[in-house]
Amino acid sequence: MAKETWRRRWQRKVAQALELPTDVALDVTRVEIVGMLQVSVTNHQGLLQFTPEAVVVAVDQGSVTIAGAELVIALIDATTLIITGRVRGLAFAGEE
Amino acid sequence: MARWTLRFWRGYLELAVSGGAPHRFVNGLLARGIDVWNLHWHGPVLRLCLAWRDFALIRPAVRRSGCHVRIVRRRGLPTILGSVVRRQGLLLGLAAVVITIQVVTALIWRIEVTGLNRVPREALLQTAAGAGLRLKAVRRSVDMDAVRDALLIAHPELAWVGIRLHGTLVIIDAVEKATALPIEDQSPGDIVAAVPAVIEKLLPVIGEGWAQPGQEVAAGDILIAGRMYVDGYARKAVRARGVVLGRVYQLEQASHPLTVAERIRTGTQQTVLVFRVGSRVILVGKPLFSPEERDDQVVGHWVFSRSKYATVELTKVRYHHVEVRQQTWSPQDARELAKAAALEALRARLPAGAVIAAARFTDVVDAEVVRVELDAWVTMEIGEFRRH
Repeated sequence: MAKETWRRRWQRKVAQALELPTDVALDVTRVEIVGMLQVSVTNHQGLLQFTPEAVVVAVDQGSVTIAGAELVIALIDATTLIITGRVRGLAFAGEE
Repeated sequence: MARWTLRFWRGYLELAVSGGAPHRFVNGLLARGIDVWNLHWHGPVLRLCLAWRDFALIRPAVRRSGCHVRIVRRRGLPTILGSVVRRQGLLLGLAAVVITIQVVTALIWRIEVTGLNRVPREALLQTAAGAGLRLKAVRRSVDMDAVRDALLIAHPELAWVGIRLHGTLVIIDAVEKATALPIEDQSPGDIVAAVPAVIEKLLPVIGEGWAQPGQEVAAGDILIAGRMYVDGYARKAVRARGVVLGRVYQLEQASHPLTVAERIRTGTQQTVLVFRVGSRVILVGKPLFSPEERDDQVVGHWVFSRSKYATVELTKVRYHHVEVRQQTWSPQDARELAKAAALEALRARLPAGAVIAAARFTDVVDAEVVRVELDAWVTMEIGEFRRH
């Protein structure tokens, strides 16, 4: 994982002290899975790869790979990406 | 749903992206704030949708990704409107349909009348037509207040009239006066005897009495003549009015048997199903009683098919077991019952207000039945109106 900067560390501690949701306070990526049918990624950084079997999404500290079959990107805009289809797996890869 | 409606309203394009790096193309669109949706692979080609207005902004992303982009389909309201504008015949047809509907719905196509008992419906509609409310009249041109006033003036039996308009239907709600007396026929005539009778009382109200109490009259004889001296010098034909009571002879017969076979249900019952297929009858369950020993009651009936080839029906029948018992009466009891039956039959056919003044019974008893003959004198109104 990339080394956490003092600024990010400070933000995380303040968020923990004030009991704020981390994804909101730190503006990090949020991944939601609805059953095996839909995955939504908020605060993404763009698309790295897209095939019917896999979607690789760039996030702030690495990438998220959604594997499955007949995958379709139902919506993609500057912050949100929604993938539908038969989701089989989810993998995170971080920067070293 | 709201997002879909917005896209449809603004219009969108379905693009086919081939060659180059499609994901780089998508990232390039996102960098310019262009939303895309429904990204899917169609063989080696990536298809995606974007708003019509964003299409002009995709050129840099296309150039940097090295992709080839072509429009596959145009969707949304602007596309539909564009195709409609190009088809002038369709536009004209639509306009013709709209105009026709407007014209047709501007007319009155049905008039209903409610609340009438004495006033004839046709007369009311005729009056309404005279005031402008008629079939195929233009709704806006009909003055409903004027129609209402015309109906109230032309039909004094009406207490209130309301007119409701429901599209092309007009409903006239009428309320008749509860105390309105029927308009009497004023044509001159006599009161004559309806039946042979002996006059008991004669009270002429209008006209001249031509009969005397105690006088015997035949049917058709004038009792009160419809003529009067008016102002002492002229004899004028009038409509006779008055009361004439007469004693009328009536004959009635009745009989009562000395023995009657009565069918009494014992309480034992059986339910069977009867299938009827065409002319064939299939009974489910063996009847415990013969037809003479039972009363049949249909408790359910279902028709499964009523084709011309074969009707299929199912009937559920309940058989009530009955016993036949002989009920016997003495000649005296049978005579009293026969007398009561004769009196009841006579009263049933007498007019309202008639009184049985005298009655005499004659009876004949034979082996099986008692017959009674009733001779009665009845006091009743015997006058009926006859025109001159």
